[in-house]
Amino acid sequence: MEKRKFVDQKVEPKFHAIREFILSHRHVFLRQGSVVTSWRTYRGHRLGPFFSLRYRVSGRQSAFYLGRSIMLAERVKGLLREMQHERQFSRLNRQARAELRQCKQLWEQDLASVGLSRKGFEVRGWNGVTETSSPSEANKTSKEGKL
Amino acid sequence: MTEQNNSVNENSAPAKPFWMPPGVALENLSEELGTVIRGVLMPAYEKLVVAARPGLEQSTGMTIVHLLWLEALQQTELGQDLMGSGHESERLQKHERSIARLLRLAGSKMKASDFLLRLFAYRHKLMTGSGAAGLQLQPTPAGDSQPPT
Repeated sequence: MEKRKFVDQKVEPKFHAIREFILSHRHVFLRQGSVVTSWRTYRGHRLGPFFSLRYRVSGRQSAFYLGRSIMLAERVKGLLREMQHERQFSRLNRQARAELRQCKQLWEQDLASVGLSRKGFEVRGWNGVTETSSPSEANKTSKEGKL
Repeated sequence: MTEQNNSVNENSAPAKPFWMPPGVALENLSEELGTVIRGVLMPAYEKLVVAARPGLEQSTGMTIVHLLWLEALQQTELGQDLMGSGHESERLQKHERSIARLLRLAGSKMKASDFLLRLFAYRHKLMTGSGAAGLQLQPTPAGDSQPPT
C-alpha cells in the first residue's frame, strides 16, 4: 500500500544515535531530561518547531539538537518517559514495602494484645486465646474454644 | 457497628489516604494505577480502615490495604515486563520473578483477609447470639490455660 504521508527515513538512524547517547548517560536521564520545543523568527517569519533534548550535568544546562521531526521528538519523549517511569515506579514500590513493614508491626502489637501472634501473614495462637463477650466472662472459656 | 461508623464519619476522613507515600500525587501516576486506586483501593480503605473498629480490626484492615496497593504496583510491573525491551530470556526470567512475587502477595493478602473475616464472623456471632457489646479477645492467664474443646 502506498504511503501518501511524508515519511522521514532518517528518523530511525537518528533515533538510534540519540538512544545510544541517552543510554550511555543513563544515570543522568533516569532522573531528568526533557524534550523542549522552540521556534525562531527569521525576517519576520516564524520558523519551527525545532526540538532539542535538554538536560543538566553538574548544574550546567546542555542541549542535544533533535531537528524538526515531530516523529523523532515523540519517540525520544517516549524513551525518556519509559526510563523515568521505571525510577518513579521502583521508588513507589520501595515506599510501599517500607509502609507495609510498619503496618505489620502495628498489627503484631494489636494481635499480641489479645494473645495472638503472626508468622508472616498467618495468625497463630488461637488455642491460647479465650474469647469473651463481657468482662464478667473474662475467665470463662468460650464454647468453641476457637474462633 | 453503626455507632462506630457514625463516629468515624463525623471525624472527616483525610483527603489523601495515609498509605499513599508523601510526595506522590494521584494525577502523576499512570492511568492504570489511577483506576485501581479510585476503583479498588479507596473503597477498600474506606471500608476496612476508616469504618473499622479501632485496634485489631483497623490494623488488620490497614495491612490488607497495603497489600492491595503493593499488589496493584506488582500487577502494573508485570504488564510492563511484557511490553519491555531487552533480551528475551532475561525478560522471561524477570517476568517469572514478577509472577512469583505477585502470587506471594496474593497469598499474604488471602491470609490477612481470612483473619479479618474470622473477626467479623465472631463479632457477628456475639452481636446476634448472646447480645454482647462487641468483640473482646482476652488472653488466657498463663496458669489457667485450657486446651480448646
